[in-house]
Amino acid sequence: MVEKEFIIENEAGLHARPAAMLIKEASRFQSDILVIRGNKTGNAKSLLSILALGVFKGTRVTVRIDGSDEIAAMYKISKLIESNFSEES
Amino acid sequence: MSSISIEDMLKVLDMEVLYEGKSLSFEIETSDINRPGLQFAGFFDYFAVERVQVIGKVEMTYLDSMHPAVRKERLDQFFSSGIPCVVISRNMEVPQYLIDSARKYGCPVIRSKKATTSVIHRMINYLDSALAPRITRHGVLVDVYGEGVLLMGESGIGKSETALELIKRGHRLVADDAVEIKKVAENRLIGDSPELIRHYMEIRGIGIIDIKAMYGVGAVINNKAIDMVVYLEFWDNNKEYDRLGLTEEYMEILGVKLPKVILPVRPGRNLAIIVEVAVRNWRLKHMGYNAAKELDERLNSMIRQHNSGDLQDS
Repeated sequence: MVEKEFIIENEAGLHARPAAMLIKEASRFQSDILVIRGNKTGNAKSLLSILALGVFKGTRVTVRIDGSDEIAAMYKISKLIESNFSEES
Repeated sequence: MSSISIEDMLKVLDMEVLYEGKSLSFEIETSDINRPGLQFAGFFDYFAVERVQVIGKVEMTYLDSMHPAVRKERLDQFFSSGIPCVVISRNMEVPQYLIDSARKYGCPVIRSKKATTSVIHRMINYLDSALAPRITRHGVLVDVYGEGVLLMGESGIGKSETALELIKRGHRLVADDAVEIKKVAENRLIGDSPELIRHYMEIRGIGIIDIKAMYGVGAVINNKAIDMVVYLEFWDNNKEYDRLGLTEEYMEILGVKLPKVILPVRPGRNLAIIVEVAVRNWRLKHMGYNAAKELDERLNSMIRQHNSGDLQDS
């Protein structure tokens, strides 16, 4: 299991489009990928559960990945979040 | 220990705030209530300081009858003990000395119009619910024939599609994707949807849909007790699936054991109908009729008859 903390920096937070990008990326991996905000947990492969977290700019979230391809998944997801969800993937 | 927001409590319980305390919220860990009559009389042994303190007519009248100096001393001791909040019932006029003492120690004072016993009941109910253990699970919660069915399984297995078919067949959606589960009693779990995504669903290839707008108000329900879990998984040829239905499987959520049915998914299997059947079957079992057992017994009695017939023949 790997875990990493991020602060969401893009202007609108995790609204529909960035969330969809995160889900797209997460769905490529076998591992279970969770996004944790405070006492709420969202499944990174499910759009609604990520939207339900209500992540704004400046929100601190933890990404927890558990599974066979966790390292690769964390690498890709870190890149996505740190690039503020720019279109490149 | 949980933090209770006074604002939220006022909304639910229809109360008004007389003094908001230090931070508009208070910390509490028990739903028990104390009526501080004995404490006002000067007996502070075993004083339940961790509880909400409810002041009714008796306590208020007693306070009024006390000598001001003694009263001030008792109230000081009362409020300085670290009580979470004070609730006044019956919409009683609250004397300034009470507010002053509360303010000195930053203890919120709240007033209700209801009679004392009713305030206590409602307060306990509210705190039980607010302090209940919670967990968020990935899945879809649907009300099928009045039973709360939690559909679980891997991402992309078809939980939402199954739920959609169930809704089309007249059942009701509680929550899609993220189900917030609350343990409200020893063996009772209530599931609901995060406010933000209530009654929305995600269907791959279409996107996000609003079930309430699409199927009407009869197709949704805000929360529901969870009665069983239906676990969808990809058909595994090497795995033995339950053929008889004589054994029962369970899944534990927040320490509550829920009956669990594992349904293997294969193209062409109409899962919604199978979920309906699973619920009907569970209800039958619950009412004391077990089809597998009945069949087994019928078979056994036939075998017995046959065997005794054999004996007569010989």
